[in-house]
Amino acid sequence: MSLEALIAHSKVWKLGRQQQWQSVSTGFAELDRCLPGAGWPRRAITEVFVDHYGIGELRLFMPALTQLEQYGITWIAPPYIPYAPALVRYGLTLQNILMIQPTTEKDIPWAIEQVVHAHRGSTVLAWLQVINNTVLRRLQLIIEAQQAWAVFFRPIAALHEKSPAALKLYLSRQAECLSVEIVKCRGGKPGCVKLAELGGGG
Amino acid sequence: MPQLFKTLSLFPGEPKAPAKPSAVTRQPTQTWIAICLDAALPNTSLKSLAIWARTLTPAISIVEPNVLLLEVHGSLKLFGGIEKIKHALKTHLARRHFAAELSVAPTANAAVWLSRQTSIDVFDYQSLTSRLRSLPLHVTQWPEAVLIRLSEMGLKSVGDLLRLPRDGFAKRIGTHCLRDLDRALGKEFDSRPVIKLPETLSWVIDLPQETNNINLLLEAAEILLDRMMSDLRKQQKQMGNFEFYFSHLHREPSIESFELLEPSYQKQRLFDLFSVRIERLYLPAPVIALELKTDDVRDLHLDPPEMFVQGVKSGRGMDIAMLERLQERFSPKSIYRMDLAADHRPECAWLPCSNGANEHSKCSEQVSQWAGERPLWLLQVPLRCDVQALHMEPGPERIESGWWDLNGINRDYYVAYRPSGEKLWVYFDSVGKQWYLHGIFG
Repeated sequence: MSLEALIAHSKVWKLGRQQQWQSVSTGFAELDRCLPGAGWPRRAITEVFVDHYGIGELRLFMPALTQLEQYGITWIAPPYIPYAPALVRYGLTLQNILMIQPTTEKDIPWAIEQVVHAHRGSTVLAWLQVINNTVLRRLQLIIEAQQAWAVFFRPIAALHEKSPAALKLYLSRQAECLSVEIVKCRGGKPGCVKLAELGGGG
Repeated sequence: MPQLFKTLSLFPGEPKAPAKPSAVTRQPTQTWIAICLDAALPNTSLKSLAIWARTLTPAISIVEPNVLLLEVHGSLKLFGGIEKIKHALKTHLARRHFAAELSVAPTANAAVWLSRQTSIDVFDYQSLTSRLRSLPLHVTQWPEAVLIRLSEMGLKSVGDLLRLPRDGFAKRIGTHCLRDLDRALGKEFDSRPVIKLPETLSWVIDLPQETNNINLLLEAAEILLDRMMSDLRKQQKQMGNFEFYFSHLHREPSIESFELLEPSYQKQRLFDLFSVRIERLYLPAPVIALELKTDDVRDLHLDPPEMFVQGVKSGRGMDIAMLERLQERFSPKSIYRMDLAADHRPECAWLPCSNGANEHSKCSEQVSQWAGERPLWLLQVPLRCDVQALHMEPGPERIESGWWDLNGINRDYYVAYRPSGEKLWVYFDSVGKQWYLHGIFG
């Protein structure tokens, strides 16, 4: 196998290689500039760590979700009720959204796997409390194979744990801005972006 | 008055001969196959043969005790002629070691009578009468008393009967038998009741020994589902909900019900559901037999295959089988879609809807008409809160509604910020004079 063929292999990545990212624009120009594919990496896991819910962690993803909604969006184990009227105001169609509230924490990865398997290219938002690296890697493989986009919201404590995620974000509120700290970025550099206007929807 | 006398017969008990049908009656073209099974075979073999025969035609009736009657005229073109159909029948009979006589005739009665004597095929009315003439009388299976009476009169064959005057025959033997004769000759229309499927279908498998082994149960279930699938496909049916009965020795069986979002005939889908269920199933005793039952059998509608393989399908989107698996593992309530409701009360403005529902929401326009912002997160139950430390945006948005169903609200909603930056949706309840947190802006 030649070196080119080796590098072209989907499981080998090279620092700074941008075309490998199949991405979807975040909807925020400042943020797009900091990400290697000028957008959220599809076919991969994005991990999000939030201090408190309510600082704009969902609003950050709304522009991308509206672009991808026709492929189906599944919310797994959200901490509160996702409020349908607000989702509609952001331009989402409720028919494209599926809610799953698994009985136990252990069932969440299973539910993610089922959804990703059943529907190629769909988007999964999941709120995970505990998950180990092995399970995450297994999910990462399925997600890659099924070209899904997964956004996992995880507790702050897990910020520095080993993980196969392509992108790790730490979100916090600083004055009037949402600070998006890129903790890990496959093929890119860590950095920090401050977003002033998240948009209210509707 | 004379009209009345005409209709009243002088002797009410006296049988009246039915008017002689005209020689050329308009007759729908029919082709009947009668299969006369060996009388020694059990009754169930006739039923199972009837179910199998639905692959050939839907018009099947049973003539007690041992004749199966098929009307195959509509199937002739599909199968390529009567010989092909007969061949299929004969092959099946041979495979199951059923001894039987097979006859073809343009009328049902003739086919039955012929098959009781021997295997003869008659395809037109002209040769039908001559063929029937030679038949002995017992093939009619008329009541014993009638047959004895006829033989006492010196009548031995159907041909002898045809020589008798109609009026006299009706008077002495009965109109019933005359009708039978007319039907056999095609002079009177003969309709036969088509057999119906039993209401409840079931498939049973006996296990070689009592077992708790999940793998053995899975295997048994797979065999049952295989049988179910092939039986249902033959009848162009599919099933909705179904049940598995686990039989135990000296105990009531354990019953597991399965509910499907959409009826199915696909084995793999049902088998997946069964395997999800059995993993977490507690069985009180070892199982000796497994039974699959359904009373929810529906007509099969296959979606026409799509011309282009589509990755994208808006609306339904998710695979129905996946939803069923999820529902199987969690409760149906924990898998839902959402819809809007025409209500100003925030907690009533949306409702979870079942997965089957796929209508487009009619309330979408309404959302944009509301004045205030709406949060992405809503709390299940509003939380009492202290607003001292919050930074309030100018407001409020007053929502006063719902007095008609005794869940009326009278609230002033504000958007507020916590010092740490979270954007909240709080309200002042004008009735209870309390502040509550109702939503988070995510």
